[in-house]
Amino acid sequence: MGGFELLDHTADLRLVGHGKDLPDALAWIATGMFSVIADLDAVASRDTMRVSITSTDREALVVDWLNELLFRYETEGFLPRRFEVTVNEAGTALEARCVGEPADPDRHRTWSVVKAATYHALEVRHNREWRIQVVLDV
Amino acid sequence: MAGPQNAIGAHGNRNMDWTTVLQKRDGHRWELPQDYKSGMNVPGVVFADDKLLQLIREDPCIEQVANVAFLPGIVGHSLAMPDIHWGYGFPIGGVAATRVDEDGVVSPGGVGFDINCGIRLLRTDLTEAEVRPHLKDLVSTLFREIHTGTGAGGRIRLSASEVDKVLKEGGAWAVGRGLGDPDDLEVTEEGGCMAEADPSAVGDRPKARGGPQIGTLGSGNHFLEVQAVDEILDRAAASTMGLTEPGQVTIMIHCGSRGLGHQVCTDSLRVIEAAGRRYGIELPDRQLASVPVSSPEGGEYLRAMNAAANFAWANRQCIAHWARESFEQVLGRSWEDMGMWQVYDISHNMAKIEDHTVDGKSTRLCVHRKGATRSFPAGHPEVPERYRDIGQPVFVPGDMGRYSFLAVGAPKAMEVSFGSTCHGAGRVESRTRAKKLLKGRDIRQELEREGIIVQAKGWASLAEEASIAYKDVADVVRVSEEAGLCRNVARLRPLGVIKG
Repeated sequence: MGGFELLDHTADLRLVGHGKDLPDALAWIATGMFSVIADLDAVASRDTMRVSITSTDREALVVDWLNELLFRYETEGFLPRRFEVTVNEAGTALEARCVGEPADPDRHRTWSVVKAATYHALEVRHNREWRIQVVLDV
Repeated sequence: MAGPQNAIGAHGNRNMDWTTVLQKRDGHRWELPQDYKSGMNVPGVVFADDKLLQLIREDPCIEQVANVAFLPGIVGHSLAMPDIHWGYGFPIGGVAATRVDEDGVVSPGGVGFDINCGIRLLRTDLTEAEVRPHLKDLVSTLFREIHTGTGAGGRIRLSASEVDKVLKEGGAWAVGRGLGDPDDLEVTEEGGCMAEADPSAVGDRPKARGGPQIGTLGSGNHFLEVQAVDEILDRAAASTMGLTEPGQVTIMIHCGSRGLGHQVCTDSLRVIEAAGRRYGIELPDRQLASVPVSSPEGGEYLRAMNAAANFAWANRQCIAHWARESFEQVLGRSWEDMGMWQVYDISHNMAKIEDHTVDGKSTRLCVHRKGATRSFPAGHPEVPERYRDIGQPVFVPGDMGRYSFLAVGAPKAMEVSFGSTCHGAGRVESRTRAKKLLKGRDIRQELEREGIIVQAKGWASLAEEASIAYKDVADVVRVSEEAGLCRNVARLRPLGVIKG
């Protein structure tokens, strides 16, 4: 079962995404990050945005993925709520279809600015399921 | 590439008791021995008394002090100010100085994503009694005039060439557009402009992300607060800053370089991570990625960081101007008539090239202050002339339910902390725990019963910033003063707050 959870961190937010495989965990951690930014219950699944990322390694892919989504949100105003992700075998590149709609301040309550995803305490692990932990600067 | 050894759980430091490792040097100084971890180039020093140390005795922030000590070319100690808490890479409240002309490095993680986040303070001739009847109106006018929160576009649309002007000129760009008074620049750190800034070192992505956000507050712990002087602790210094009586109204602004700075840091980290590996720099946390200050990548980062710093000063300049306009609208008098002059503007997230005495010799250092305020003493040539006799003003905001402090730089800071002091109260409770602890309570109403009017865009974030989430800033400034990092001048208490 995929999902995300917020764990304690004194100043910032420690976010964990779980998934049956790496793409699933990457999708859930992105949903987790946008649930920190806005009330995703009010976001309709009516548009899509495509994202592709190439990174130096699997850990960097997590950070680059979340930071690219933040960049696209703040420059294009697109608020995604669901992600379909595919990852190359090496875990260094991804293609994603992000489902959501343009941010609308009248309909979408927003919570917090996320400044960036950081490398601090970053973990990508798997045994039965995949688990990604990332600290967000908020 | 080997996985970085930075997983808190993995190396078991999450619940370790630091009082078994730190060695007490005096009443407000604890040393983290250099042999705590193999690879530390210098020992660490944490400025704290017993009370403050108890609050961080199990916090991973001390591990971060040890990790910063790995930076090549670091001199003196890896320092932690009394408000230290767990950050990413550097601890928040961390100070590290590296040798510029030798092997010293610059680390974007030692500045953080919010480049030149800082505090600006305006004083007024108004009294609390005059303002109190208009407070609700004032807070809602401020909230309308100054955009807050996530994705908030500002009131100004900048063309690409205009963004470059902001990055080059900083606060002067805003003043040149009529958003402020030339005197504001006289009382801004660096005159509101890092001359080394290079707009061409900033890519299209930071400009696209941050350009539209000029003149906005952001969210998290950023705020604009209408305050009253609660108590004056140093009459002469306070009077030099235009504060003479309890009850006198002040305005405090806390924000940074918004998406522009965040993206400069994000993009720089990608470059510096790869380059750092080429230079053979290995560090225990990937977020500390560094390159030599003298390398091309180091120079490029500093030019971009300085440009982002200028954006932050322009940002606070715009906000201060609209704060003055809001007061004019509500009280029907000109800002000059209300004496709304700027006291000072400080940065608390920066890396700066400064001269300090190391082993008896004047040495050029790259001083990283991540959640730490410059604290230059009286007589220092970089302190504006009107404050040359008292020292550089320092602002230490507390949480929105209690109070904030005004201080000045002290001579001992030059000896023990590369001219640095604390920057705030320092969190003790995580955002998630604060929300859990306050579940079902209406923080807005509770503050209003105490006479503090709050308006916020994300009401959920209000609980995250409530008093219980923070150390008592009075303890932080007391220890800072006892350690000789700064000298306290006045205490300010909140009347009205706007937040993201």
